[in-house]
Amino acid sequence: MRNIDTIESDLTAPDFARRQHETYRRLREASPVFWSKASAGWIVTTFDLVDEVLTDPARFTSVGAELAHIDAAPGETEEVRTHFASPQLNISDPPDHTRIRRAFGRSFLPREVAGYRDSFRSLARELLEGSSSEAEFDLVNSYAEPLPVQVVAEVMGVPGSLRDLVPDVTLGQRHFFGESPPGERVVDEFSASLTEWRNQLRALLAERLKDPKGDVISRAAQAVTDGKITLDEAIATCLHLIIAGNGTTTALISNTLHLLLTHRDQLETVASDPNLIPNAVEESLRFEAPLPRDRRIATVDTELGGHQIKAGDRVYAVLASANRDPAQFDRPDTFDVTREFTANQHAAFGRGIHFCLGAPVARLETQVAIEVLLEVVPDLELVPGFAPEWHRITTHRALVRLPITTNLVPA
Amino acid sequence: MRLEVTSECMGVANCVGIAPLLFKLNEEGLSSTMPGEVPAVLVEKAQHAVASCPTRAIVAIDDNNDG
Ligand code: HEM
Ligand code: SF4
Repeated sequence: MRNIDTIESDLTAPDFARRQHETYRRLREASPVFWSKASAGWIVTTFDLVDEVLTDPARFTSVGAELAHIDAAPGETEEVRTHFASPQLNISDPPDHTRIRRAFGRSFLPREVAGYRDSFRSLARELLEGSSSEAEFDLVNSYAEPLPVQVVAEVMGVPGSLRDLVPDVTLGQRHFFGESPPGERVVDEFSASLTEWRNQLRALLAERLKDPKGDVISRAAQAVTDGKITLDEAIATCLHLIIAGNGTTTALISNTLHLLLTHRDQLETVASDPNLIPNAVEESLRFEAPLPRDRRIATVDTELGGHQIKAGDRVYAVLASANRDPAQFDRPDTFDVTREFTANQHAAFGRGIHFCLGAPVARLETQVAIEVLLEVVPDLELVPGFAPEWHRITTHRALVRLPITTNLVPA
Repeated sequence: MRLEVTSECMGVANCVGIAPLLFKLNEEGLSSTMPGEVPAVLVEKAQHAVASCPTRAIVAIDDNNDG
């Protein structure tokens, strides 16, 4: 058995994605609070310690990292700085966080979101009609990628004409924060698409204030008028919402399909009893957390799991590892669509005050995506010899492609 | 200690996950809490739930401040 000294090199190895669960298991067992030089931060891997970090924002803050990154970037970054300087959910703490979360929370009540079921179904059907007549197609780029863009735009009230611009700003932001410091071209491109979006949202907010539609943008406009949030906070939070649900839900949809297609018995269980789909989605969230880790910064010198953490240290709460902690789940490495969950037992949507605002949307959308796919293409199979390849970015657990065959008899 | 869930509850259910004996989701999908004094063994869980609510919708009321 490998010892703890090799973990540092395993964390940065080219095939880390393939062995991430094994690496995290060794960390959980040997050193659940581990200083990683390569990640320049503490890696926290047991469920209880992950929960401890995420439910104590006074000790472990979500504020701070973005502005330092922007200041180190070359070129024209004024608009980018303005955008990230205004409080928005994921990079704020109470009291700002509480105020903004209250202003947006109502739109994401599970009961409200359930009203979108039919609309999500037609969006999914429309996408499949385009590709399912082909004998072979890639579920990632023809289904799992475009669906979340459409779904979130629908809930937000982003008009069709702007939806094509969503991938640009999503990828732009990922590249901008993915390199430190980012290159000049990356900065220019992100800055341009961010500026365009901020202008569009400013105009949309003004328009919906006069002519409200019941969507998230209309409600945000009202919250500005009522003095609950500022216009800048409304713009920044709306854009964050438009971006936040893309890569994550794409990963969840493709991970779930991949797991079902590689566990045929479970696929058959789900196909014969579609009532199990919501549970299968929970199990997929647990088994392959789409967002493997959350980041915080320690605000004070403090103790965590017997280690001394210094004020200013970065702390990574590894959701993917918490979800495989045998102290939290029986048979954690078994994928089982019939597993019984208690409420929010897994950590895939985070813990504590920053718990994913979009979780009801992500859940419904993924359930619908599986349901509709099984209806339209009941005989789908992975192309023979498929070997999964994961994106190398550490922020998402996402498959590069998922090619399937459909055995469709041409009409 | 007694608990109250205010109208700021947005049905995230973090509280239910942490302390199912103290919180339940009602028909509207919002949290309602067990009335009366929180049993001593559950006080720590109650505090954890208060701290985990995204909209700070759970209020803990301490009746015996001098205790
Ligand atoms: C499978 C899909 C998704 C996963 C796995 C996911 C995961 C997460 C996680 C782990 C967090 C906590 C981050 C932290 O603690 O710092 C989070 C926060 C957030 N997510 Fe999601 N998310 C998903 C989909 C969505 C969607 C569809 C939306 C929008 C419609 C969304 C909007 C947000 C927002 C606004 C926050 C910040 C909440 C806050 O700080 O109060 N997410 N998400
Ligand atoms: S955690 Fe807060 S918002 Fe969520 S159900 Fe409980 S009281 Fe309501």
